[in-house]
Amino acid sequence: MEIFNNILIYFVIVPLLTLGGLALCSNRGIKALRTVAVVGASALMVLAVWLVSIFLQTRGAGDTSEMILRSDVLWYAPFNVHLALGVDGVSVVMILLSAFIVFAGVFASWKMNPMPRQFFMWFFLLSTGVFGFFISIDLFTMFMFYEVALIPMYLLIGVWGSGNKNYSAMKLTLMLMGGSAFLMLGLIGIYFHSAPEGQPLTMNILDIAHNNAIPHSWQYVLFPLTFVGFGVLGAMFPFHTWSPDGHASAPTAVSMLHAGVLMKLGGYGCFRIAIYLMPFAANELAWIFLLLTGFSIVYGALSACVQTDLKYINAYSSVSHCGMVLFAILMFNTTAMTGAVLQMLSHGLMTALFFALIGMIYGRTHTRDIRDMGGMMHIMPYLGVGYVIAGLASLGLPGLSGFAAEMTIFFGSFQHTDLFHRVLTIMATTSIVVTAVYILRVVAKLLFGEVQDEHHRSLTDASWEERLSTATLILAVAAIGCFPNFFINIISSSFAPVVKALQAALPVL
Amino acid sequence: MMDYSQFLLMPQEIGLLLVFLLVFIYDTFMPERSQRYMPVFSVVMMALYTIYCFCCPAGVGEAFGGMFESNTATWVMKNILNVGVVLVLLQAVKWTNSDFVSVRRGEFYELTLLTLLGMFLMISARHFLLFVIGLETASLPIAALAAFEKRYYESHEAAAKYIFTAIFSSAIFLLGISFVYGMSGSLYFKDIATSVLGNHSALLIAALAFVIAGVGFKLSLVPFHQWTADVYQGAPTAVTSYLSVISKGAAAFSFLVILVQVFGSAYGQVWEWMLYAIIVLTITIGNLFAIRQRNLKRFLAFSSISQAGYIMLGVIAVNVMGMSSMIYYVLVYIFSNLAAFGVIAAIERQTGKVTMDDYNGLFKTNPWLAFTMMLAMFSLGGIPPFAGFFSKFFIFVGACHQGSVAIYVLVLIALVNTIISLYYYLLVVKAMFLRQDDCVIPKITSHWTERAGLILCTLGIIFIGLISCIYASINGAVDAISSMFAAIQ
Amino acid sequence: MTAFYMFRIYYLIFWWKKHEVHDAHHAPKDQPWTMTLPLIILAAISCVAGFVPFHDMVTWDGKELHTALDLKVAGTSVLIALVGIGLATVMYLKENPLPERMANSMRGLWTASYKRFYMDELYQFITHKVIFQGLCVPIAWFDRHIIDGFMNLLADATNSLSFGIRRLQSGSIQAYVYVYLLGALLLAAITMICVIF
Repeated sequence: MEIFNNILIYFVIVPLLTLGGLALCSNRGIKALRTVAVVGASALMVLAVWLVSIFLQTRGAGDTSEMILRSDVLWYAPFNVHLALGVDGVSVVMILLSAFIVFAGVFASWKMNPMPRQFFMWFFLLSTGVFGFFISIDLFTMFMFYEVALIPMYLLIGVWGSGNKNYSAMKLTLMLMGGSAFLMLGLIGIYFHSAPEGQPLTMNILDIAHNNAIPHSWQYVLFPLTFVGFGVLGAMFPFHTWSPDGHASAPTAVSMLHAGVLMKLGGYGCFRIAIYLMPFAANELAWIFLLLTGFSIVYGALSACVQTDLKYINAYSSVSHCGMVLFAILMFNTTAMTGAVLQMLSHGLMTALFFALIGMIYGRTHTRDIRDMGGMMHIMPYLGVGYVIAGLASLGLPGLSGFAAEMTIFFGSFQHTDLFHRVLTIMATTSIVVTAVYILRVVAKLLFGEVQDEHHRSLTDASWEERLSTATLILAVAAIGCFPNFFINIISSSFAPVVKALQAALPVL
Repeated sequence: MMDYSQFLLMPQEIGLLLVFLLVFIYDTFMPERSQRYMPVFSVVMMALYTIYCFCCPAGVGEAFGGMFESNTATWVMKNILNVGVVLVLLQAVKWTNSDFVSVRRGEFYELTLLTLLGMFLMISARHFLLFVIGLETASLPIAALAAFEKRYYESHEAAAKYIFTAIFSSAIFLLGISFVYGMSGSLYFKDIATSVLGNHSALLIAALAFVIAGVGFKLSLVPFHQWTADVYQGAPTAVTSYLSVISKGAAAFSFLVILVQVFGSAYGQVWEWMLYAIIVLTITIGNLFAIRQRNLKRFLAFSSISQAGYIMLGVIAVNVMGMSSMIYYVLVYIFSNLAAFGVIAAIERQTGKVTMDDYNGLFKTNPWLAFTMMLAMFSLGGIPPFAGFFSKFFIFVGACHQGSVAIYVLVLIALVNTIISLYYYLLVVKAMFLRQDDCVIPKITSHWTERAGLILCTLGIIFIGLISCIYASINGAVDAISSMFAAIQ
Repeated sequence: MTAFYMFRIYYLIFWWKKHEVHDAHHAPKDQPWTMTLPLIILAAISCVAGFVPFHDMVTWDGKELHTALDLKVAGTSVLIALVGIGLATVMYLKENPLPERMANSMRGLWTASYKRFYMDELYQFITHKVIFQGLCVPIAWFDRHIIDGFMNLLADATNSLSFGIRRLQSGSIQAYVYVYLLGALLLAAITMICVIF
């Protein structure tokens, strides 16, 4: 089969093989499980790095096609469903991000108990969905992988979570599935208007975009359906309420993967499907969603200020940061969109880092309430320093990832000269200050405050696998902060077709 | 002089009759000590016959003056039902050999095969007389089957409720047909279709409503559904599973044929709106009732009501895509529902427990049963990569292919309902995986037949969606009769 | 100004006489390498920071951010910095009462400056009283109760609807048949009305 010559398909095969490998070692000990999981995650990492180098080579060789590494296998002929693969710069960096977080997640769940085998199996099923989503350019396959990534969350939270886990797991699953119900209708609608009269319908995103045949009246309906459908996963106000509960109850690695990668599926989908395929409605209706996302940036940040549970703080901060992603995408220019992808990377890594650290602290103190903790910097300096770095990245310290992303976003947003966009941008900018407030509040209380519980003095610092997990993420955060150009070069070329489509759809004055 | 070559058009019916006769002969004439093997014998015969049916090509043509029609679509539909029956019989082997049932085990197999024959006639009938014969053959023995566990009060109740409502619905159905006959003077589908063309009388609308009510009873569409819960709960699990998938699948197919062939050209718009209302009611009411059920069989009864609503989406589409999606949906539904009922039957047989709370912590003691049940629930809820996702997506696409905005609204309602249904399907998963209990169901050693049935169902759930040629062949079969839809619109 | 206070600290710490050490815990001792190393790196970076071409990094659209060394601006700032350093050297190089006297002569300014111009109190008030209490708490409450409450309400409404209609399934076979008949007749009647009118 020709498709197996494409490196992309292995991003789905490797997690599946890992899944199978884990299924086979049912009676082996935890060591065997860890070996299989680490081998799988490392293989993904190697593949991702390899993919980046292939991408750079191809682009360097002057290939300017929209997507590279295209493969196409007919799957369901009656619906013209293909297993169509292809990546552009945005998907490449998203794949890289996912590989990093899966890798770190495996180490963060090193001592998972009970039923580690089942845990890792669901974990890798989830990653299969994530990678599959980023590599496909066919609406049906994309949607299928999207849902594959959602459902393991129910069991991962329900079985291995903590706190009010039954409620959170159900709420998260139903809300996300609710979003995907709208999405499914939107996709079916797109499919039936994907080609001009008399030509065969198609599910291929590129073909649909080139045909540009969706009638304007339909775009008005389908754009909100798809945007909201993906927006639920992107924690868009007012559909974000699954996020605090879900993240608070999820086990560490799941929070990492969910906030780090899954929430990016939302932003990516909004960009790739809603905006790219329906540029007319995107231009017309952007203001509604700009208001919503602009609001959710500030709203999330302010809500985070008064939370006392570490995970709630981080979940609300995710609402704010993911709001920024959608906000920037809706600015419709290359700069802001580049910033959006940088922000996805940055938020993915630093949130994963946050959740990893919170999980490690929680594993020792058995509390996540910041009122019950303090002085952790003396007790566990490694974790403390990691937390400070994550915090600084989050509040946008130059040299770390947050700065590069947010600067690019605000520069891009400010390129709009009209009052509406400017006011919204300024409003969104205030969130940086609020972010600093809540981050520093936690850092001051948790790391440098008085030790609240004498038992905490006897706690130990991070073990080697925890160090490895966090160090990977810290390095990645710093890498984005120090060499944003490397990523910008990969990403920014991918926006040309989208921006062109948006420009073309603008009413001629 | 009768042309006996007509019988060549019905190899599936004749084969089924042969299987029935063999089982009957075995049951009647074999010595007592070998009776134990009778269930396995029936399963093997049925399986061989099913394989034979897949191999023999579909006969295309009409027989008996146009009363009976065989085409590629009926061929596919019957084969799918055969597969389902093999699975049902396989899962029932251990149960029919149990103490209180074993004396009557022959009847179980014979009656089941007879009802299947009735359904085949329903599927192929192109004349209302033959259709009614098929309908009754498929209905009445079910009452006897429902009363099979005669030491249980619920079983009797189920049988009584079934037989009374079945008779009532037959009466309504026959009333409808007599209206049709009065107006058109014929019972042939084609003749009726031509003679009612352009005739918008109130009588025909009433006839249409009564026919929908009559077949809606078999499909348990709201508001003709109320027998479902009690019968599903009271009847033996093997019978319930048979009732929920096979009988429903056959009824759905023949429903489509009647609506399209008899009323399609003249009343297409009218019955589409009737069906529209019924679908909305069926999906919603079924879901709302399912949320609160604790008894798993009753729970699956309501879930199957709402699933019937989804199946009807393929009928309202009135196009090739809708019809093939509907057949595919039935196929997937057979595998998913039989997996669920298989688990329930295995547990019920050994412990007698059927409520959701009994399943708390099942994963700890019976991981494989819990896993199979979970797959079944995911597939019913439409979660990828399991088959249910594909069938749901396709049936929605098929419905939307019709193109009107109203259908999009209907699909949206159906989609919102999938969220509700996902909620209660997850309740079962939650009970098995998330909850703990002191009195967990102990480790169950299931019989090899049950295990084989469950493994087949599991494989089906996982692979039917991923292997695209299954849908492609169904689509090809339906495409061959696409002229059926040409008359409409 | 920056130059002035930086050098003030520098002189105070390293040139003035050691104060009495009361607390053994706070005795200055050589830092562990983990602290020294970052310090050295930071020092090294700050020495060369001016020469790092930042304008290359802070671009987003391929075009470089235009930066140029304006000699007039640079020269003036270096000059002022040197003046500041000189002032600090005069005032703080030796232990002397000069700062004390200056502080006394400008008491009000000094106190305000010592209290950081009361900015902290103001910030404290704004963040704690206005932002936290006045904005964040209501927003957090709104999120938990109104937005989240609405989502829960949807679920609860479905549940109670399900509870409310349970009587429709009575278990009595007569009722089943009535509902069946009523359903069929209603279906026919409504359709007739719609079609005929």
